[in-house]
Amino acid sequence: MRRVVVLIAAIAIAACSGGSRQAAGGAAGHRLRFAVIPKSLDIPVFNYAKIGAERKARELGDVDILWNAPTSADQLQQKEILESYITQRVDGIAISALNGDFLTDTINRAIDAGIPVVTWDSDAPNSKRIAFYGVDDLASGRIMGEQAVKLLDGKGKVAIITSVGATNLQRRLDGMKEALAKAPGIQVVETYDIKEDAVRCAEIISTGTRRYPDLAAWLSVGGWPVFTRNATAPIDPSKTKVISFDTIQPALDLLREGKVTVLLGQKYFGWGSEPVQILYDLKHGKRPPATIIDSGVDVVTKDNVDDYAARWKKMESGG
Amino acid sequence: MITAAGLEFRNVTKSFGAVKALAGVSLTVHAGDAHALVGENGAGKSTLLKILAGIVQPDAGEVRWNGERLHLGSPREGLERGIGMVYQEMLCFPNLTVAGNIFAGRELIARGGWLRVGDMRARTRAILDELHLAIDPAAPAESLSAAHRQLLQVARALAFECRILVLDEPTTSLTDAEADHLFAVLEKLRARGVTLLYVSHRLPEVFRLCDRISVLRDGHHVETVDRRGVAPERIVRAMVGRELPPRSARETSAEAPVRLELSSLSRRPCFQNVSLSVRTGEIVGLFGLVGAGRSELLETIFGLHAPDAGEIRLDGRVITPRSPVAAARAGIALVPEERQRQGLFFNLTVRDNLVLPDRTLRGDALVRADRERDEARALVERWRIKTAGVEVLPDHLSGGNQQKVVLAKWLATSPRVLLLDEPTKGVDVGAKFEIHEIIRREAARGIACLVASSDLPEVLALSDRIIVMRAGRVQGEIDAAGATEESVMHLATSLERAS
Amino acid sequence: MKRLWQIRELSTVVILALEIAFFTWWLWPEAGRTHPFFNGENALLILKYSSIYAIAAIGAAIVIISGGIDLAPGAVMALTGVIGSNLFVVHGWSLAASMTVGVATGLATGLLSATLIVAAPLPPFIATLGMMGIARGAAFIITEGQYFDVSSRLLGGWRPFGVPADWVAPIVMIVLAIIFQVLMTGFQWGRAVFSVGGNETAALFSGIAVNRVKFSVYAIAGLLAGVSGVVLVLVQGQGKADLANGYELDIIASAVVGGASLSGGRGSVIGAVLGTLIFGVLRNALPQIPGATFYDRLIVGVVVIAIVVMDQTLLKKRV
Repeated sequence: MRRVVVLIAAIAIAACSGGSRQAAGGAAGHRLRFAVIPKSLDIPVFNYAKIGAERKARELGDVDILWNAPTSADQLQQKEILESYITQRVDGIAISALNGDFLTDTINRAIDAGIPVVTWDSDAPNSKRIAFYGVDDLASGRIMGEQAVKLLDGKGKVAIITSVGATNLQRRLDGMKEALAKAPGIQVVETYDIKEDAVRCAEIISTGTRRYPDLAAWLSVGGWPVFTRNATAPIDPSKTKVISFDTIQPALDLLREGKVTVLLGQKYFGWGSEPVQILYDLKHGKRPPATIIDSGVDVVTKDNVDDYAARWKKMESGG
Repeated sequence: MITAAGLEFRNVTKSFGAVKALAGVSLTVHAGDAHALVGENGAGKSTLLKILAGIVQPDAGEVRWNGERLHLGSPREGLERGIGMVYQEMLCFPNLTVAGNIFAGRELIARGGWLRVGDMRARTRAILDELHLAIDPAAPAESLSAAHRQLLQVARALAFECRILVLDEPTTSLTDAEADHLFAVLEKLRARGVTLLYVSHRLPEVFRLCDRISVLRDGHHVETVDRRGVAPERIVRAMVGRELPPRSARETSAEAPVRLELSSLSRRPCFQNVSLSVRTGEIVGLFGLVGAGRSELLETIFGLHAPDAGEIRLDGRVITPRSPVAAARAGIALVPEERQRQGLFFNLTVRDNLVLPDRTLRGDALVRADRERDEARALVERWRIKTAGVEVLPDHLSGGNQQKVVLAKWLATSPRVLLLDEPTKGVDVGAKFEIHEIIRREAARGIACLVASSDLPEVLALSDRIIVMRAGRVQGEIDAAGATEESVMHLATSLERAS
Repeated sequence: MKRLWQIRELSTVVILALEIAFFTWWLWPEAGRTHPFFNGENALLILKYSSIYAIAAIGAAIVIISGGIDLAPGAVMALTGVIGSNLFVVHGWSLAASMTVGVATGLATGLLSATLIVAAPLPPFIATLGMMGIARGAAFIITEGQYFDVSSRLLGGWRPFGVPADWVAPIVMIVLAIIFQVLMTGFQWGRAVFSVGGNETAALFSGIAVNRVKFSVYAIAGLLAGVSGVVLVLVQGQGKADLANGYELDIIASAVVGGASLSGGRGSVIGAVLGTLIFGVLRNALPQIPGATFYDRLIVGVVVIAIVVMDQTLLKKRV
């Protein structure tokens, strides 16, 4: 009986030690543990943040990245993960908040416990977080609106895709509507809530296309239409244009093919690398230059797509 | 003439925990012989057979067939060697058909993997005809009666060329007529050169069928004798190690009040129009062949089924037990036919098993372990139940001791009526005797006992009165004093009376 | 029986202890820093989040011991949480009243399952599978996709009966575990449950009211799932229809790890609670090992298989 228990224990230990030996901090050295928490694990855009964060960690040398998030966008589970990193006394937290207000209390608890917290991509503005790195959502929303107005010559019907609840998306929406309001000929026929479910995008677009056959453009404050090829399939590019956030493939291909006209790219790798740098600096006594750090957006069209793609490749492969 | 050595056990030893089931047993079954293996339960017969079947591995010793050592690691290996087993506990697949059961594990397969259903059915039909069994090969096995399922097992072993056929109490659920059929088939097999290893408690059968008799006692091989020139008493003495006292005659009073009375009780299609009575202190034997409806009758009295018509009276008052709980509260206890399936809990200790009905009836809320342990130990001592303490699980107990547990647990509830269904099925001679004594003693204390049994000698020895059932009806009643095997059997097999 | 089962629960304790020891060793920090895993706050966090599973696992263990199975706990937890939070947030009932109604809902689902299983009679797998759909569906119908924010109405320093909020869940878990462990081992009713699960036919033949026993175990399972749901809402702060998705499998796995056999007649309440702790520790500790976050599902599977193999071996050794 005792032998069996020891055997089980040995198996368990072996299983646990399998994949993580090389990255183990263990008992050696002064390694810093930073928890980087995206909104969820099933949004492909954030994989680049992971690459960026891990690259920066390798550069810095004594940093370990703990990458964790709920399997799908569930703010309760994100709060749970955040809480556990507090009790586990990590050295720093970088988080993209699904619902900033909901996480405010928990973020404050982390700060009070001595753990520096920065936000990226999606902010928790009312919390005590030390800095936010991401696009100025209002500004980038405005840019998108202005691009739309320019593209449609100031008139036509447009449909908007957003996901209700996330603060950053709301602000982009606000900025865009501000810009669109300046062109009275543009009419917003409907605003669709995709609930952060990229799979539903195809459904929404085909429903919308059938409902509004003379739609001039789809405007999306998130990258859902360009995460897959089939989302934009029902669209006839000669009749309806697409302007979307995010430049993750196959977005660039769609741009080249003409399915999509304008893309607004965020600093995907930067989401990972910059917050890690900021946390590292904080640990070494250096405060960030500002509380809100605007990463800026890249406006990508057919004209500069190749250039953009080349730069991307460099960043992805560790350049 | 020294015949070629057939099956040989050499120094086979096996222990289960603290219990030594076989202590260096060596015996030889000559090829072509009909060899009987007798002994009390706990003597080791079942264990020896399990080793032969490949279900259990011996701790020491070996088994040889025609001089060649056998490594029996699984039941399949035994089958492939030509060792056919027919077991005591029903091993059949209730959800398959008769043909499916016979060919289970050895299905006839056409090239490509298809099952040759038609062929299997035809062969099944042939085998069943050989055994004179009127069973449809396509019938689901669970629709067969217990006796037919037993015969199905024999058929399964016979379905393939076996060189040695091992039978473990095959006639337990068979009537004399069915047993005759079985013996006829076994004779035919012997003529074909098949070796028979026959385990049975029924000495008349053993003497009828077998050439040589081996006796096991307490895990040891006592002796092997040639049947010719040996008296049954000698065998019994060897098995038990003591002389069995002659069965005492019983005094019964015909004036005792009627405790249990059934009036025209019916539950179609199992039994109809059954009327009988059992007095206080009386033992009434309920005899009948397969399909007579005895088990169903007892279960109905116990509240497991609701009758369609008729009345049950207990001490003169009509009762309608809607469940075993109600029946038990009224003072009726049933010792069921299949103790493993219906009588015992193998995930609870012997103590739990013994006190459960009593505590359930009393409606206690708490489990008082100390008190229960004392009571259980008292029961074990009183009924001489051989067990390694009361805190063990009952799976190590022999069949006879398991049956005693079932009996003891109900007697602990002080019932007024004791129903027993085949109380000594699969029980060794010594325990059988003890159980009979228990029943007699309880009857003497005033319990009314109704014993259903297909063991005619048992019925004759135990009962004050014998009620014979056939095809669900009461055929007649005989006073034990004047009863003979013939008179009882005559009633059990005679044509239906107009009623 | 007592001796064997004491050994069985002991082996669960041993596995838990080995697990904790392993992670304590692996995650040992360098001098001067608090241990990220082996500290009081983290332990409380593990207890808090495990208790949500553990309370329902008590019910699951009892049902499995009786020879049945219950697939509904996750859905019932969601429904209970939704009803309780609805009454509290939308209709303004007191916390006590709303949560009591929620728990009563759990009991009601248990009674409904019990009726289906005893009266119809339906196999427990099917009946509770149906119940799972009904409960989950009802939750979605009530919420219409929204959620009820309990945390907004709960005062910040909420202390029921003077106990800090974080302690409520573990205390409820421990109290319920003790109560039901005693019921199962020291009361005739508990033994009747074991006997029905061990051999239902023999139980019937022994005069046990089998149907009443079955009825009681499913009712209890429903009640405990209800309590779990209430605890979940109080811990998470929100009542949503998609809470506790898939929890029933973890709950059943915990009961099995704790000694319950799916063929009935064996198991332990304390064992099931310890089983949930084993998985809770795993969920908490793995994200602290870089690269190991996603191994938890794999390890859970391996552990369950290993434990069942151990159980079979133990059983066979007795024969």
